[in-house]
Amino acid sequence: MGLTVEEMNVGDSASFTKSVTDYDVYSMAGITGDFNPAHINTIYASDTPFKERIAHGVLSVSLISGVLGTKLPGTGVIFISQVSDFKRPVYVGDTITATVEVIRKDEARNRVWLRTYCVNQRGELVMDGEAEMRPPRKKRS
Amino acid sequence: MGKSVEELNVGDKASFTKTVTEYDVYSFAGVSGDFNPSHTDAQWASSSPYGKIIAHAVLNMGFISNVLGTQLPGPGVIYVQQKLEYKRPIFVDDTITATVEVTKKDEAKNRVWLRTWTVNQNDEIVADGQAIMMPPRKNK
Repeated sequence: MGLTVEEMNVGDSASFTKSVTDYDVYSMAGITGDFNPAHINTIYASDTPFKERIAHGVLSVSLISGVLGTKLPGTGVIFISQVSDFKRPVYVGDTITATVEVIRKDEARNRVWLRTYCVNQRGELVMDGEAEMRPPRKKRS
Repeated sequence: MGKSVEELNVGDKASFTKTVTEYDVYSFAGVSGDFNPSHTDAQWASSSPYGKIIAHAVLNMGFISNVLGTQLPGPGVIYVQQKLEYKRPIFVDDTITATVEVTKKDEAKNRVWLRTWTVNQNDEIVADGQAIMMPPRKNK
């Protein structure tokens, strides 16, 4: 079971790092139906400002979801809302680190707010945002 | 090529509907690394408030991104920002419809604002929010 609102403190952070492969991009297209040619057509992509295929913006958000749902707060958390600003494209082969950091909490309302952001292997911000979460109430055996 | 800011009008809408299967939930876990047991452990999920496995909330954003990137505005668009509030869980076998509707545009800044939401087969709102998009320029 994940952390309760009482167990979380402003400044707590957790991360997950993953290299993005073609598998991820094509699977995401298959799951969501988002076959935008920017993601799955190399010829089309070569003629765009990005010059090559880019990953779905949602992929960065999904890595954040992994950290929120398995590490901080962790299991039992309920997602209330998310804001995601997409700053730079993610390319196949990029290594993305998704980090969440507690910025505010409200014990009475059982809510926690986290800054949620992803950087690439050069330390460049690719996504920046915020999540409002309802942490699990108490330990479950 | 998708629609330019000049070709988009307030009230324009587009949708995508898909029935969510176990394939989607397990594939999403594999891509994201999000193996939260509420998504991939039926035993654990059976004693959660929902009583069964739920899909990743971010899947809603995936369906919305689909409509934004392939229909309205369509290919060539750049995703600037997505806000989303999660109202209800998605269960396996739910049929989810994602809809986007233009609410505002700024031709000078080449930006479009859309309400973005998903409903299930009972017409219950599952997620609701707003996207800011940079549509493709004309004559590319």
